[in-house]
Amino acid sequence: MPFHIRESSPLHWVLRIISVSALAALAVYIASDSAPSTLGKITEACTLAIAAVSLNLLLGFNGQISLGHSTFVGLAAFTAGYSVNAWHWNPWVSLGVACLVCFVLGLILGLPALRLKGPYLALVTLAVAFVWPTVARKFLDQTVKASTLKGMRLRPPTWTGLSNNRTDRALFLFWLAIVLLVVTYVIVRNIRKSRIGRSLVAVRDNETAAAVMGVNLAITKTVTFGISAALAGVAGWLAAAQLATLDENSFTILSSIKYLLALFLGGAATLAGPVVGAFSYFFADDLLKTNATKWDFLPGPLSKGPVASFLLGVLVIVFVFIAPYGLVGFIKLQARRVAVVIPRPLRAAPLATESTEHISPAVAGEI
Amino acid sequence: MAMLDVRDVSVRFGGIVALDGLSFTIDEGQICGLIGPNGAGKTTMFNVISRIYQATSGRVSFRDTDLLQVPAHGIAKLGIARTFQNLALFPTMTLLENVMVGAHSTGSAGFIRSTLRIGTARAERAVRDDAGDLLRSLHLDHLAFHPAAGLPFGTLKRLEIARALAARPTFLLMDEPASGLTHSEVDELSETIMRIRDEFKLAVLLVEHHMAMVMGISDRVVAMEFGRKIAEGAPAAVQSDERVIAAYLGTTT
Repeated sequence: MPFHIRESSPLHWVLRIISVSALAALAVYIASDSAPSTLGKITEACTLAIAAVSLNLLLGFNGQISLGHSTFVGLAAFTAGYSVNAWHWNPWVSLGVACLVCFVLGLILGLPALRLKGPYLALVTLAVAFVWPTVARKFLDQTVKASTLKGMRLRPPTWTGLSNNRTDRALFLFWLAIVLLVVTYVIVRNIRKSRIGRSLVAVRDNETAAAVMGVNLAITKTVTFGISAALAGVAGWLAAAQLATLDENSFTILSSIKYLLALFLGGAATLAGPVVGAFSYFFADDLLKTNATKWDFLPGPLSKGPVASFLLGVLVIVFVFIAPYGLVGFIKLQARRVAVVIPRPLRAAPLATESTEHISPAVAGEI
Repeated sequence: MAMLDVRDVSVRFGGIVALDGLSFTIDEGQICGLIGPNGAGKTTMFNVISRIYQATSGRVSFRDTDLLQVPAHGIAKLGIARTFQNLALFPTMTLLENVMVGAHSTGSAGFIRSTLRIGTARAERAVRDDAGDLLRSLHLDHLAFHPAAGLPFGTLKRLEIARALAARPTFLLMDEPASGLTHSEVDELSETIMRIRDEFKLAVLLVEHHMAMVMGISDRVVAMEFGRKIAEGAPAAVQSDERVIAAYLGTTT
């Protein structure tokens, strides 16, 4: 018999607070005890997680596929990098502008998405992802006169007590990435748990029925596309802050595939899925890349080629069979054997009218 | 004045005439049965009113509003709700969430307020409480936190009714609510329709093949054949109308 926890009961709150504190403590521990290169890797993983969370809002909850998210991430990175380098904008202002630019492009891409579904929408967004490197190339040729654009360098503000050296900058970027990931996560979580969130899922499950319930399909789908693109822009801005150089091959269709993989590995249409998936994917990939060259037990031809990619592919295939609903789906299924959260009960049935009418105020007072 | 006034509505799909100058009216609080053999155009009429199909010509007015100018997502706000013949539920959502989506038109929190959670808590609680009450009223409260996918057909048909009522409609369109139900479920459904009509002060347009049910609960019946109206009036009168009998059983002449 699994242990029952009532939603919003004191016990439930205690467990929630403990798990959030544990995650925060883990972050503090990593920050205090890691080399800049490790912090840099976690920052990169956070960037991937933000992109996957943004894709989850669009694909997981609203059912609109996008293979073009690499374009939004790239566009934001270029917008930020260029405005900071060429116009000497404040990098923080460039975050807002980059998100806004992505939001507008997202709205525009959302328009064909009103008429197209599934593989057809995938094809249109795929085309956008393919076009982006060419556009970026032209942009670099004409305005930067170089094949690369410098990334932006964030100075840690003085109140953080961090100085402007390499170690402290890595530490600052690490915390910034964590904060941005939390903000993105909370935005998507709030949307999902609201009236709008229900309408997003309703549109995914049954468009006609959603429209009859009063959901404006055109506005819901385009604005969701826009918000998802803007959140992907956060990931792009963060990438621009971390990368020394941006070139046209920084954000290709392969990045989009990576976001999709992270999303489905973790579990689409769950809140934690894309975050768990992004970190798992990133560190599995990293682990294989750093270690696979040392492994000589593989048969001849395999040990020479790109072993890491091959092993990662095998891992993904095996994983899809073991946990078709992603890591989070798998964990939830296992956790249900140990403990179940009982949702807040429905409002109690009103007392039958005749029984309340019989109790006059005077009598009620006596009782 | 009638609540719903359908006048000379025609619908053509290419060369096929699905509705040919159909006219009828429904009054407030009335249960109106729409009957006819398969292909008579009942569901087409239904989809014109719920704005899924465009009428080729004609007028549909609902309490002074020209319904044909209203977009599909606008009818819920006017107080019109519908159920679907072959179930159009949200399978991944729980029963409670399905009913809460039904109340979408009664809410106002948009993207910005939902993201920032400004002043949404009270409305959310009210929607949840009302949805729970509706589930109980249709004897579905024990399944409130169960996803809709995989439940029996009869249960899901009741969920459709609960979801439609969540919008607090004054006019409910029901597309073959009895199809696929067992005998005892049909009897229960008749009682449910009468009960919710009284409880929610509803007018009901009932498209149905189950004659005993239509004749049993309708105040008025409109009979159709080949996109035209062939009879209209009290159930008993329509039932004994020669053309209606001919349409259903064929003529010997």
